[in-house]
Amino acid sequence: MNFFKKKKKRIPPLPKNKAIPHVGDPAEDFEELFKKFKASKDFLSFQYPSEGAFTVSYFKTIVSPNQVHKEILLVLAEQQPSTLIEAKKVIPIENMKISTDLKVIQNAAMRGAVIIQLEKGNGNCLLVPCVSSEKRQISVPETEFSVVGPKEAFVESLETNVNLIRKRLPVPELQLKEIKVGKISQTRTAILYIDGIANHENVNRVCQRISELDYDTIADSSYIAQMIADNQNSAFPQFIDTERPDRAASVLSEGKVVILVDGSPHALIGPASIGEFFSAFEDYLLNWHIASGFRLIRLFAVLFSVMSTSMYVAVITYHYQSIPEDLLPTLIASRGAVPFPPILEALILEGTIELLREAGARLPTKVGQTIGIVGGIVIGTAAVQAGFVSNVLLMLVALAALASFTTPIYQISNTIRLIRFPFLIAAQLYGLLGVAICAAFFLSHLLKLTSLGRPYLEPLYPLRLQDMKDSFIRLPFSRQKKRPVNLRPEEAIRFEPKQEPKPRDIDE
Amino acid sequence: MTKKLIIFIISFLVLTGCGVQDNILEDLLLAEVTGYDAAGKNQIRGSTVVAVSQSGEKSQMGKEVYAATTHTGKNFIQKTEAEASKRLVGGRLQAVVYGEELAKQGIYDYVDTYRRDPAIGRNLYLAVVDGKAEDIVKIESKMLKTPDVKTKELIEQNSQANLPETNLHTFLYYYYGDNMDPVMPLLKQEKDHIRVKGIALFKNDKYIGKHIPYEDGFLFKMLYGNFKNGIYEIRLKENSYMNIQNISSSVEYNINTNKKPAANISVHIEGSVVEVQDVDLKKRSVISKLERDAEKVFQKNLKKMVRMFQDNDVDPLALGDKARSQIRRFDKKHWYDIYPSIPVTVHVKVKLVQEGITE
Repeated sequence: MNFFKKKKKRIPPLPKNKAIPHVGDPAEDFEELFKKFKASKDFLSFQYPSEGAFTVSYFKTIVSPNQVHKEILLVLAEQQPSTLIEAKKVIPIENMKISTDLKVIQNAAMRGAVIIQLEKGNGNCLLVPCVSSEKRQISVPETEFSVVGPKEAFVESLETNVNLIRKRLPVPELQLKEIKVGKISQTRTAILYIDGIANHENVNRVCQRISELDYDTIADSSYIAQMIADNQNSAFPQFIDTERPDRAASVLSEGKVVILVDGSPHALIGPASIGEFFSAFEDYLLNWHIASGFRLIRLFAVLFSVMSTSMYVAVITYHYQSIPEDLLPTLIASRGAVPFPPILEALILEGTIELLREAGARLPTKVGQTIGIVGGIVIGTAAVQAGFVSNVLLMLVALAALASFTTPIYQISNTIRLIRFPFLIAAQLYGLLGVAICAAFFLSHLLKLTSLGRPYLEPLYPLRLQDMKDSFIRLPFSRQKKRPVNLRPEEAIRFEPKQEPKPRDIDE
Repeated sequence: MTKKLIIFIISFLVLTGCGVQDNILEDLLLAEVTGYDAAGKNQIRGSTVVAVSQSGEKSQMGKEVYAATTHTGKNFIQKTEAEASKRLVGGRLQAVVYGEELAKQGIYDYVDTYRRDPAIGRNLYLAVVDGKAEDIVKIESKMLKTPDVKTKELIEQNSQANLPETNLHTFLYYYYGDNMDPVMPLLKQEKDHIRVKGIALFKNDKYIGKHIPYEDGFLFKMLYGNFKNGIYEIRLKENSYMNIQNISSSVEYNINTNKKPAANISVHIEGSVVEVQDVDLKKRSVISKLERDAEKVFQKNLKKMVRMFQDNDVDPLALGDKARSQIRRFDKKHWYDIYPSIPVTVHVKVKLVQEGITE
């Protein structure tokens, strides 16, 4: 059986030397660096205040012009410093550096520093950070909107995002590690955790995985979420992404690790377990029994969304025995006119719904609404009247689509969208047995899945009853004395319950 | 990896033939009620009514009857397929009815076939027809006012009040259990509808030709087990009747364990007076007199009923089984011999409760 044997992999020979320069590599010498800079039209380099004095050079598109004029050029003209050290003393800007290192100079210039040299300098440069960054205003959260509670959402600027978290957790133990990721984009990635609560294993794991990343451009935090996931082939997201700073702050104090990426308005939270994807932050803002009820509704909605069409196909195709008697005439009558077998009918409708959703998502909001109405009402009614699909299935598919929107985390709703198709095919192949087999496959996948090495299906498996207090239901705050066991926090106790005074009706 | 992929794709192409037979709902004829009659010469005549759907905006169900004469119960389905436009399946069967003549010969073989069918549940209703089963099946096909199966609805509805719960499961339980006999509802065709005539009595799987009249079903249920609902009419004196609605009734069997067994059945019934003629219900003394009168009537009728069972050597009350549970070293063969001659006493305690705005 030669066919089934594994072939030995040939290891390609390592490249001998790095002769070819890569993009982003530092230049060989000063001349070459400036040649590279000058190739861009927005790079300015001039002598100031007079011929033979300082050479000032910068990219005019990333420095703040006001600051350059008032705090550098004006000062140089008035104070007339003669050396770089003197200049450094008179310029009223912090974090200035004098360096000859070409790599440092290049990085600083590309991040909005003004380079000041003595005209006949020996390559010594004074680097004055003078960056101007355009920011968006902090706005209302869109995907995780809540009626009550804070209305702030993360923006693209890392500083602003850290600020939003820090002002909620004013303790020095909230620590931040910064790693630059991406050879070209050099995206600043911040890892936040509370020292003394978060397990260092979790923190180190995140740091290690991020620092080992090798990619050219990181455009968003979801890049990182996919790259550092425990199982990159899983359909299930292994990090929660949130746009709410309040959510990020509250999970930090549980002992989780938050990853912020410059340029991304979404924070990543890990380790995550599957229950958290169905809990909205609003659950903590409502009374505990109401919140628990809503969580259970969401869980039911997800199960319904995944199973309903496949159940329909299985029952109509194989198990006519299990249809309730009173439903039978309705089902037969609505199916009777349909020329397709149930599986094709279901695939057509599911396809239509996915089409509508995709079209709605790609279009501007106002047009998107029109698409929804056109698709939902016109196409739906027409399809039933034309006898293409049965109205029972139309209702089921529409409900399933609606149910998949109940998940508070956008990533998991995409997963739910996708995983109903394997169920559908399994239902066609073996009926309810097929659905059960498919469910077993998914369950075994979920059992194996981990998020930062912590079990994904916790607290269901491994069964940890003490973590049930905030998973599928949410118990009152007085019961949340301990932090989740799953995170292995270094300080497990959240608060020491005080001796509760006996309630009295009348003050004595 | 590539090899795995190749095997995967090839299996898709090759294994397409390996599938399960599907039963797409609208491509089936769903049998609803099946009837069996004796057809002489060791043959039986089976008939079945199937629902035929008419597709359209509103659900309309037509009904068709298929019938054939064969040797075995299930074979007739195969024979009818010669006339059927779609495949005939029995998974939605609601009731099976047996003609009087066939029931007298024994119906076990025709019940057993349903026990072996995985598509059929245990809550299949069985009934005996006074006359021919095919008549009921034919009538059933004309009942189009409701989409439901009339025979099933009829038995189900009456099981609330005057009929005992009888389905495939209870039939098999009473059939296989020692010292007990099954019962079935007795149906009768009347012009263009079906009526429950009473409770047919069985000795093992053979209908003995006797039945408890529908009105006395109440009495039978009092002895059969604890139950609620049901109305019974008691004759107090000439031209004076009282209707009692049962609120709750409980029964207790005591079989003494002496050499000579004797059974004592005590029934407690709590009921409300629905209607009474020429009686003033305001007085407590009148009510207690009514209670005594009712007790007397019940006792007399119940005793008569038990006597009838003993005379015919049938045991639908499972007296034998109850005796087994109370007597150590119970001899079931001996019980068969002495069953008709066991003295049975019945005690009834009636309590009348006032209901409604009179209270």
